[in-house]
Amino acid sequence: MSEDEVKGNFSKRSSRWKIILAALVVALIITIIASLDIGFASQTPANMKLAIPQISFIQILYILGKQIPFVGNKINVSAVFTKPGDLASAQNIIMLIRLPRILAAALVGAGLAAAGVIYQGVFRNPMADSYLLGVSAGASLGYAVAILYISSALTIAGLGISQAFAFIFALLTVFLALLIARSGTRIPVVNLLLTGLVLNIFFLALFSLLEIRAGKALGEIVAFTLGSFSSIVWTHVWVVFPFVIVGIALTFFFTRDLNMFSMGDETAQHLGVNTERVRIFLLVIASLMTAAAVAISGVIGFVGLIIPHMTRLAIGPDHRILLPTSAVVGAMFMVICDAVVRVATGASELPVGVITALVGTPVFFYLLKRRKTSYSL
Amino acid sequence: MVNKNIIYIATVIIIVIIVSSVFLYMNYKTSNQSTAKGITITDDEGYNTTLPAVPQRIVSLAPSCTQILFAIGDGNRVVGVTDYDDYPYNFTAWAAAGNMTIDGGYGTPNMEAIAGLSPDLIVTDNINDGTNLATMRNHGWDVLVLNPLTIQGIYNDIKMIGKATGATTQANQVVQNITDTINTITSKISNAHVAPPTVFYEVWTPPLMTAGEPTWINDVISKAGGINIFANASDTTQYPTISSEAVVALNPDTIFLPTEMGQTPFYGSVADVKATAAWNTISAVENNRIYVINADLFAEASPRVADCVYAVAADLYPQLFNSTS
Repeated sequence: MSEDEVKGNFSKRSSRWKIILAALVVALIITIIASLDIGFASQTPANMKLAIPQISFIQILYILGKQIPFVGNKINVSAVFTKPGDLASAQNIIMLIRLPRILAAALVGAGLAAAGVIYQGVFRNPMADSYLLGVSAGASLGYAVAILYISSALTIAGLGISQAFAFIFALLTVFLALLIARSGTRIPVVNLLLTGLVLNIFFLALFSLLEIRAGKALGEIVAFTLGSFSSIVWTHVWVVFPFVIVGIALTFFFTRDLNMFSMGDETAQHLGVNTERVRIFLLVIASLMTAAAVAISGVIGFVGLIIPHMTRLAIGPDHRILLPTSAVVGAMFMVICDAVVRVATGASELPVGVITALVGTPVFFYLLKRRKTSYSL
Repeated sequence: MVNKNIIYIATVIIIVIIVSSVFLYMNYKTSNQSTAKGITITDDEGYNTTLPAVPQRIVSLAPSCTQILFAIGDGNRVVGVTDYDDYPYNFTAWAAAGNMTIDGGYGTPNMEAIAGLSPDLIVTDNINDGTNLATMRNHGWDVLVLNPLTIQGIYNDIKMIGKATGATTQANQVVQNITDTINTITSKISNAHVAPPTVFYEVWTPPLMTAGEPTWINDVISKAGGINIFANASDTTQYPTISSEAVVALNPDTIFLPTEMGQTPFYGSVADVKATAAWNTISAVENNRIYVINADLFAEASPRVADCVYAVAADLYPQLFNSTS
């Protein structure tokens, strides 16, 4: 193959990637808008009728349009409502509950999936997920400590005290893992894997200890370990947004390095990657994204493990396309799962972590079975 | 290549700044709404809530709160109740007819249903955890939490809700009626000059749990002329876990078993209680003084507390109150 042919192939592939990514982004936006019409108030069980009429899709579009700066003032949203009371209700439901919730789900899904790609790439391990270095156990412990021993009325930077503790404990756990795994000036991958595993077990043991002493707060603590978007308010969206977007954007510069990691440390080094520094940098980014996601929504399993695999099965192992597509697919997947949660069981909701596993497993097995050749990272 | 990267980074940063400031602005808008002047209520958890106007759309998140609201004449302003609510009306039937909204389960409120109701006051007991309360308050809703530890606490809560909804007179009247009824019962008992029987109130088994001193149930028992054998079991735990042996040692004259109407009792059955190992020597078992009472009354710190006191008194002193049981 001549150099021109290689370049030609690459640009062909690159334009194919752009099409795939653009299509997925469009699909994500459609999913988000469509899921705005899904919720308890729209699909109320017959015996629990809500005293307002169901919100129609047109009404949702008007309410959304009203929020756009400058243009919004020209939209007469009350024209599509028969009673002013219904408008207030619908506006409350869409703008106060559903929109922040759906955006949070999208950001958390994107963050967890992107972090999963990073962890799997850095560790060259299909078992790696976004919670590998103990973020989940650390966050759960921090959350339980705050719930049980600290008054919960405080807020720090838009987060409740328990969420702030979850975030800080999650980062401390990762820091501890990096510190313990260090050997001289290097952090060997095997050391880090084992340290993360052991810290996870250790912090979960401490967490269980608190669980036993929790009493009335037990339900609240257990709910955190399964994840939910039912308590999302706008400030949470604002907190998680910069972490996820900046995190994914920065990682994008290192997707070539991630590709080289998959050939092994030595090869990567020969190809000019400063493996040690890049690895730590990427792990810190992934951990920040995961910690912010966990702080606002609890520990939602499965997404950070399976979404990268599902995307890799469908699209190939090149991180330049794997990272952005995984993030978009993760966002879409989480938005769908949360929509299911909102209507599956009537007035009281299931934890979203249960649904991610129930919905994701069959999809993953289907993709795995469909593949003819054996699958590796 | 370098230029491309700089443009890329700049774009990302600009997008983040724009979106963040939009979020900040929205947050500023919502947090700005709750600075209006009005009456300030301190609830049972010490949280101060300022109500800008008399609430017209009240959401109840607990059966006891619903009962208080209806008792003081605010029923027509209640727009949402939980799926546990069944008193003073059949709210499930109301909801099916479209005249009431079910706002979630008891302890699992549905935020979307509540948002749809545009509430200007939410009343709940202490079933809702900190996360639920913080979420509702973050949405800009005013929430009052009730957690009465004595009968006096129930009176205070009725008056607190009355103050919040502008129904002070009615609330005072309701409290007066309850006080009068309970006083009639207590004076009847004290005039009889009988040695007060001891009571074991079995909340749950297994593990065996009872109501300790910091509960209004303990208060009901003493108002009804009984002595709760586990009143001093714990100063802080409302429902302490106790040993079967302790029940034998304290030898109660009567045992009370709460049961929800038409449902499997928590403790099994009266026969199970009698068959409990070593309990056959207990005075209550020997004299067959085991009473099943309606848990709906005892689980809800409501204006029906006088009915509660009467129900227990009638079982403790059948010779004085021979109309029922």
